[in-house]
Amino acid sequence: MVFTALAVLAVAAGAAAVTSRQVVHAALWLVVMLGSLAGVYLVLGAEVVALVQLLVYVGAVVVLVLFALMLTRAPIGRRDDLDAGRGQRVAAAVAGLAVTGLVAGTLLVAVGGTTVEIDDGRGSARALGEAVFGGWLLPFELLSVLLLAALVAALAVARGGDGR
Amino acid sequence: MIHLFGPVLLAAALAGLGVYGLLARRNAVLVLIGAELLLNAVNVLLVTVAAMPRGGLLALTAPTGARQGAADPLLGGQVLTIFVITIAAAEIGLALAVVLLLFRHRATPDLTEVRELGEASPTYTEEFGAVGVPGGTGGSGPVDGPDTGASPSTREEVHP
Repeated sequence: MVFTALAVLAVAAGAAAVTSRQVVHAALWLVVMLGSLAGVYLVLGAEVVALVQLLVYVGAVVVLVLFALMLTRAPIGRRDDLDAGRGQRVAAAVAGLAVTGLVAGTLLVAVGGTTVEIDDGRGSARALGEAVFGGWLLPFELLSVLLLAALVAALAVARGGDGR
Repeated sequence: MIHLFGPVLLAAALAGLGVYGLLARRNAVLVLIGAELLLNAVNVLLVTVAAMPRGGLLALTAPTGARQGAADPLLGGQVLTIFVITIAAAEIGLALAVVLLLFRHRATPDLTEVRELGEASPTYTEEFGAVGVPGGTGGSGPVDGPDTGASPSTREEVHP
């Protein structure tokens, strides 16, 4: 089944992204994970969301991450100082497993064995556009203000904050 | 027709991996990758919920033909997913600016090297400044600004 393959790929790539000992490889595994999640969205009938995921995440966010790695002079090759000590890693793994167990437990109980019909028309550009520019217009405009504020703030922070 | 426990399990696994990445990494950029995994777990759940008919789980488990109810015209799940993606883009832009500032001040992206919360900390010392700026200059670090008098040599060391 397409969904299972994509989901397994996403989880495997995500695991590689958070455990890789090479920083650039971690960023590239993030690309794989985000791309397979776009496939998952397609399977779930959200085609516009899948396209936005590809455009914004794979196209912009990952490029930003790679630029940050370059600007912070990321080491090439295996490095052992990317992760915390063994004790903290074990604690982090326990915390991660606990989160997984909690989320999966509650949601699986809630969902049970239900199935849904995938309605392709629901995620089309027309339906989504009418929703965004209809009922969601005010939050949408607020988001544009948020993006502007984040842009200005990023510029101000990156310039060093001595321009006061 | 798709079983709902697949997407739910995927979201749970991604959330756990994201928490692990947030807690176990020392490089600031890699910590941000963990945060991206967490945000994507939320997105998977939202898209999954968007595939349900109006009324959500109650409508799905309704015994009779009450589940043919039309799709929610607001499309809450998918629209909110796009909003989360937008917020994630804003977040990562701002966070990477902070990481770059940290790197410029400390010459390392390692979060465990940062023990103080800022120049206001009593133990703060300017390790990279040739001319000592004794922490009382009101938050101006050893960055640009030719009027601080310490800029040329400091910039040489911070930006080799």
